[in-house]
Amino acid sequence: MSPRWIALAIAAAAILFLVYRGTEQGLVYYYTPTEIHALTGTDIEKRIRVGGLVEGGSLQRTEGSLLLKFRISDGAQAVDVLFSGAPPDLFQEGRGAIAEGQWKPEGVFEADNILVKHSEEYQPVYDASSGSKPPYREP
Amino acid sequence: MSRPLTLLAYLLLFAGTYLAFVEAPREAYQQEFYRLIYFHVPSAWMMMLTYAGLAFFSAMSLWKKRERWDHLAVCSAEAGTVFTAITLFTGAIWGKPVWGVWWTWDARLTTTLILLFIYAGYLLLRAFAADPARRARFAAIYALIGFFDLPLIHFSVQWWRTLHQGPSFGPGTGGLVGEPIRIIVILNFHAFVLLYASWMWRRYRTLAPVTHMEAPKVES
Repeated sequence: MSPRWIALAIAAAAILFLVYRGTEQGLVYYYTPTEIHALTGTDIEKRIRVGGLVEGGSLQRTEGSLLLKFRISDGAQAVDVLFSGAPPDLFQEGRGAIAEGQWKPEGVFEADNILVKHSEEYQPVYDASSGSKPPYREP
Repeated sequence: MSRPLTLLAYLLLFAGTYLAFVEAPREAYQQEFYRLIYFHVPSAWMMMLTYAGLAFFSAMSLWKKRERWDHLAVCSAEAGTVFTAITLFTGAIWGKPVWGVWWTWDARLTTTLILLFIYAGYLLLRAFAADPARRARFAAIYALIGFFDLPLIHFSVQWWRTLHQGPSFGPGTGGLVGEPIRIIVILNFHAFVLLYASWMWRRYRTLAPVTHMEAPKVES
């Protein structure tokens, strides 16, 4: 083995290491509410993410403060989330969201950040299936 | 030949940009923000396509040991670096208003950043090797090893749970609803393909004569 081959092997190993380290946490970017309820021991109190749909009718704002209360659901179970701050513009009931923060043993997820997860669907504001003319250049 | 090609590429890109920002309908949920997909998605396809090109040219270079394959590989790697940067850049601008973050370490984003590093590493590696024949060999082997990242990028949103949404395009997805959105994405992709071809052409011509000049000893 010439030194160059060794250097190349090291470079390849470094990239593989980066891939491993980079995706280790990213592989499971967020937990589902069902998984959150199953958390035990050291996973509680860690900074984690919970993701799912913001349950319809669960969003409560508090008058005079930035406090936000809502439930994130995966269809089977739901998690109560508390957040103080301004969520992204597209945050709304019935849409995907991911909360970053801590799962408290008393059964509340205290979020310090809210992300919006949108679906892979893109559709124009008009109904494409109705065959109506798309309203280009809307006012 | 390179001039009409370049002209056509920019013409198409201009038309695509106009359609994306002016004529395309608003999106039902993301409103105006989604317009960046007209550049983000085609450039993401391009960064994969250019790497496929890089891998192919590298394999040919190893096999045939002709300099022109090595040169084609360089051209493809340089174009790929640009497309990967465009993908990450448009993704970040789009991510801030839609997701709420410029960047996050989810599997799709991380594997794409790694591709940028692989491209940059390829160009760096070439800069360090002096002997053209050895440089061609090492670079080609490196490029082939780096290919592993492509399936990771493609399947990241299916294999792992990510913030990035799943594929919107292709068999069994149908995420792009309505002809206008689909057509403009495809149009811009073609503009990028032509741009790639034009870059390849022009860059390749700058490489070819230089080595030609290196061969005879010039005495003065």
